[in-house]
Amino acid sequence: MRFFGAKITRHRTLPFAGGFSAEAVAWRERIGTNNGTISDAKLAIIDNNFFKPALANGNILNQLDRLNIYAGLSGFQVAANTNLISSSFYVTPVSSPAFTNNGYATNGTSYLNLNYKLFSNGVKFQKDNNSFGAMILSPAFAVDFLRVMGSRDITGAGITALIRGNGNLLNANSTNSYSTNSVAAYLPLSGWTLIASQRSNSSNFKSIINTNEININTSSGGSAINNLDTFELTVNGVGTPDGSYDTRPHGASFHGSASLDIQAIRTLLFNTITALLV
Amino acid sequence: MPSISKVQTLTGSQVALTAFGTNGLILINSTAVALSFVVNGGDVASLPSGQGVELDVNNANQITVSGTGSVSYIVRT
Repeated sequence: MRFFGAKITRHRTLPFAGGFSAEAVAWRERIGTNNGTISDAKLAIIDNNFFKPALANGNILNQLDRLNIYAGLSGFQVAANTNLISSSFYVTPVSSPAFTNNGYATNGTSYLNLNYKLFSNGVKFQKDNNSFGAMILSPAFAVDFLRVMGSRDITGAGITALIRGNGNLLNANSTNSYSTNSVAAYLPLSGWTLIASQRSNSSNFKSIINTNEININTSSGGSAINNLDTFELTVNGVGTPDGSYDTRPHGASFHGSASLDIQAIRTLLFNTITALLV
Repeated sequence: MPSISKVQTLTGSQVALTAFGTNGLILINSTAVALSFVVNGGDVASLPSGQGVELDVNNANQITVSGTGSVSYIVRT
C-alpha cells in the first residue's frame, strides 16, 4: 500500500531498547560513526541526567546547534568530541590538550577547534539571537586575562568571545569591543561553573556567571558575526589562536539561540557532570 | 603562557603605551568616561567607559591614549 500526500504533523520520541531515549541512541551512533565508543553505564548517566530531562524540559534540545560534554568521559574521548545535538561540528583537539575526567585543559599552547563557524554554521545561533558558554572547573578571576572561547575577525570587528581575569569577565557578543563586568560580587567560584553570554536583541546582551545574569546595554548594537572556526581554551584571532590559553578544565560547552533556557541547561550540565564523576 | 597586564597613567594628552610586545593587546577603559586612542598616528578612535578593544599591533606600531586617570592594557601572549 502506498500513501501520497500524507503529512506528519506530530513527532514523538519513542523509547528504545535498554531504556535509552532516541536522542541518546542517535548520539551513540554518531560516536560510532566517528570511530569511538561509549559504555552503556556512561550513556545511561548522560541520558538520565541530560537527554531525558532536556526532552521533558522541551526547550533545551530545540535551541542548540552544538553541545559537547567533555568531563567524566575519560576513556571515551571520541564521545567527548562528538556533538550531542547533531552529526556536525566534531571537536578537534589541537596540540594535544590534556584530556582527563575533568574534561579538557590546555598544556600551555593547546586548545580545541570546535569546527563551528558562527555565520555559516549558526542555525539557532544568530547575530542578535544567541547563547554560548562553557562549564569550567573553579575558574579563578584573580589572574591575568585568560581566553575562555570564541572568535574574532580582523581588526577586532565581529568579536564573539569570553575572557576572564583581572577581576573581570570580558564579554563580546557580535560586537567590535568587549564589555567588562566586575565579578567581585560573585567570588569565589568553586566547582563546575557556567560562564556564558546571551544576546536577545540588537542592543542588549548578558554576561552569565552561574545564576548571576548581568545585563549589558550597547548603544551601537551588534556589529557583525564572523565566519571563523570557534576555538575553546583560547580565542580564534583571525585564523590563529590568540594565546592566553584558559588554564582551568572545561567540562562542557555549547552554542544556541537566545531562547535557550540558560539556567536549565546549567542545571542539567552540572548534574550530568557530577553524576559522571561519581 | 598567560597574558600580561599593564597600567598607564593618563595626563589628558595623548600618551604612548610602551612594551606591548609582538602579539597585540586589549586596551581596557576602566575610567568613568570615554577615552580616545590613536594607532600609528591615524584617526582618533573613542573607547567608551567599561569597554575593551582588541588591537592587532606589534612593537613596531605606536598606540597613544588620552584621558584622565589610568588605563590598563593586556599584552597578548
